[in-house]
Amino acid sequence: MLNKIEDFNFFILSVFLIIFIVPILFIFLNIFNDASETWIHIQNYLLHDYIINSLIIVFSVAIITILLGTSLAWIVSMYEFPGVRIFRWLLIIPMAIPAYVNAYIYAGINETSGILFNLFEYYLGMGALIYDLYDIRNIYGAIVILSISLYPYVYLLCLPALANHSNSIFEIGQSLGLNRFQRLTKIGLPIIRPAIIAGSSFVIMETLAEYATMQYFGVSTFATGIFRSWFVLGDESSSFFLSSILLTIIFLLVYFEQISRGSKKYNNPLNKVSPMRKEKLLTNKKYILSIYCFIIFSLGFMIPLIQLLYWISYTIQETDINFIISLLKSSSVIAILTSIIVVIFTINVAYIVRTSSSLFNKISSKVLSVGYAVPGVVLAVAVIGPISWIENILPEVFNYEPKSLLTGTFVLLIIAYLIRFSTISLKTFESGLNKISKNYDLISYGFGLSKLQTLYKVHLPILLPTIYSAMILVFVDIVKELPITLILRPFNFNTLPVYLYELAESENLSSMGVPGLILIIICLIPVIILSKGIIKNESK
Amino acid sequence: MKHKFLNFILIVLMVVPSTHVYSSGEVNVYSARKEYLIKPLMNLFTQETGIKVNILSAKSKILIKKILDEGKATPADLLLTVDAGNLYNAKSKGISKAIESKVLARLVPHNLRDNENHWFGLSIRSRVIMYNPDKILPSEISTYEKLGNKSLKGRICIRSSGNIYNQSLMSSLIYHHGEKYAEEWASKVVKNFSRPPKGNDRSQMTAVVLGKCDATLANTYYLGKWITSKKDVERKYANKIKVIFPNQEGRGAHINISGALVIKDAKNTSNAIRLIEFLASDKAQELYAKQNHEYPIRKNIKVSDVVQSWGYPFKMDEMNLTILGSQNARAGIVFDKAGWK
Repeated sequence: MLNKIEDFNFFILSVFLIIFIVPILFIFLNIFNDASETWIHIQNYLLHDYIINSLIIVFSVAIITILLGTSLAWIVSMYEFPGVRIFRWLLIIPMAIPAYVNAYIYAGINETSGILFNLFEYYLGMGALIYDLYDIRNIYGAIVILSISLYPYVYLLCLPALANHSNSIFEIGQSLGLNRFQRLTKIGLPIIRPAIIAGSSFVIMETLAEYATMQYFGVSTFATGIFRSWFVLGDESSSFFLSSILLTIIFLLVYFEQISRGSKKYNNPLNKVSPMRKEKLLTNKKYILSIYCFIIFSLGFMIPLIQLLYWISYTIQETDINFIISLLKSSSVIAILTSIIVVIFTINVAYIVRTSSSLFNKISSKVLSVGYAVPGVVLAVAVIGPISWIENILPEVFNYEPKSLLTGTFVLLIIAYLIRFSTISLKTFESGLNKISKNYDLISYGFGLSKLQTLYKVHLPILLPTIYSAMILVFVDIVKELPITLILRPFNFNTLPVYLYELAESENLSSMGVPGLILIIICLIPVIILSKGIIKNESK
Repeated sequence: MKHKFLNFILIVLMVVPSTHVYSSGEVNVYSARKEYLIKPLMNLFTQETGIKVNILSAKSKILIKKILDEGKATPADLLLTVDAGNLYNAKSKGISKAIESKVLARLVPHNLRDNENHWFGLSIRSRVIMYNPDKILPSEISTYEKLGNKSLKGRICIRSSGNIYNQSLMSSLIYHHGEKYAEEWASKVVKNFSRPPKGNDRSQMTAVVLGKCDATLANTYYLGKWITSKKDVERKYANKIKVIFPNQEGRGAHINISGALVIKDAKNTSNAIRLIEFLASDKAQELYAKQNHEYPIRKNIKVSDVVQSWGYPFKMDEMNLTILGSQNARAGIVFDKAGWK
């Protein structure tokens, strides 16, 4: 009996592994092909740009998000200043706006449909001045947009890291004669180091994967290069070359992140959290902190929101609400369906690994959790390759009229989502299951329940909150996903991000008001739930 | 309860793939025209014929590559795209097939379709000169050629040469005057730029209104969108711009098309042909062109009031549009040599 289950588990894991590995393998196998003419062209003229731009952007965005995220987390945790309670929460909110939506909005603000342009044009007749004030469609613009969209990830991870430590640790520092700055560098930073590393490596992955913003700003990076060499230059092998370089970089990154996270532990030795006593500041200084928080929040959320509302104010009449509702429907149906599938899939994987930790199982869970590191563009391209190959080879073998089997179906789209978005869910369940003592399993077996029954009757009820949060996270990621949907979606299927992308392409920014706002609201719900949880935990 | 839930998931998983579209009453369209632009017309077609239209929209080059990748198994029956350059490109990559249709032969003028009947033009757009009447006389810019005149130094702005509209215009100049002339013209125009090329057609028009330059090249429908805009500023700006149809004394203004072709491995060929015939018909033409402020493919059809206000009919360059595509690579080289970014 036991062996049967082991075999079955082995079979399931193997199938999943194949689904996950084939596309990635397909990319790397192409390295052995001879270099095409296009690849030589790319090497000579474009590769330099891809590398330099990607490096500049990744480096700058990482530095800026770390500076913003840690400094904001530090001041809202350490100081008392006007609005600190609300800022603590507000500063997470910018997460709800996908980077590419910010890119479209900021590009629009000083153009003829923008609020800034119109204010100056109406009241001062100075539209021309505003129009020339800044041009965001370049590499610096991309850095700014990504920084204000991604800093909350660093901020969010630093908050609990700081809150979990007793105030006494800083008091000890103070009594040992450390000044304010030394307390930050000698105590604060080491404490939040793991959070900074985790947050910034997530930021770096997101930055490397970002397609829509780069494409819209005309910045050549690996992501746009992969897209361009596949679709515009029509050369798969170049696209795979670029993908394999990018993937190698990202996998190395993931590896280093895990190493640097693994070795050091910063436990609270007192095991007792005396609530952080915040330092009160002199009048002038505390207002500076409020203003700083306010500026970042405005840039990340308020200004984009105001611009969207401004666009809505004059496009609301011509907006086809039924069409928007149909987009909302297709966006949410695919996201709900896929997040259910992802959750079921990852629970099973996490549980299989828990019940028998053979080497194969362990390796499988590592492989299955690497999907998020594969940028959407790369994944889409990697899925098309093998599928088209199969669809064209099968008719020859079985002698039937060629037709598409998976191409242009929801199955293919969902498989791609599954590969990319299982990571978060799997990590959530692994940590969730780890918190459940193995004694539960043993007692359950003792009552004669099988492993599967144990999962259903013991673990799932305990894991329910974890299931919800995993589903919400995956749901949001899919709702705002762009490149995979763009490339793999079936006929008659459009989502909110695809529509926004099309509007941006046809330079019809002002029609973005309603769909943009709806997308942000959808993304906002889980952000609020998530941030409330974190802030509640802290105040315990 | 939980088993019911799992069963539900399984059923969904089994049903979803089978919703895939193959039945005979359908046609699968890959469209480079935005879906929200063509949807009303497609609905009309479905009403009249009962044939369901499935649309997947993306950029032209993406769709062409997708069809190539999908090979014989492609679900696409028809490609709808803009610019003769793209249509030519699709044909030369071998994804299209020749269509025998007496209806199309009658409805689509000769110069607006492929000489082997692979693709057919369905609407016309013209690349015209737009200018600020306070700053420049129409006579100074009555032809494309005049944009290279020394008197216009620092007064012109045009978008980058990576754009297919500019490439097609350049192809027409190469065709009419030869490569040498075209190159000289391009480098003279570059010297007349008031700023390095940046932004799209609309940003050039904005630059004209805001006094950054006196004249620009732009496709007519962009001005149409401004005139009918809900935004006061854009309507105000539209009033400050005038249109010149160039070369009216000579060969006529440069035109381009949006068009359609049937995919070589189409599974619903006859439905695809019916759709193209429908789009070329009088009824559809009126809507098709009006919607995007373009021109219909036949002169007997009314244009929108906005489009009429710029003057219609005007003299169009009647060169065969196949050439726009076949000269595209050379056009790119000419731009590069002239230093037109």
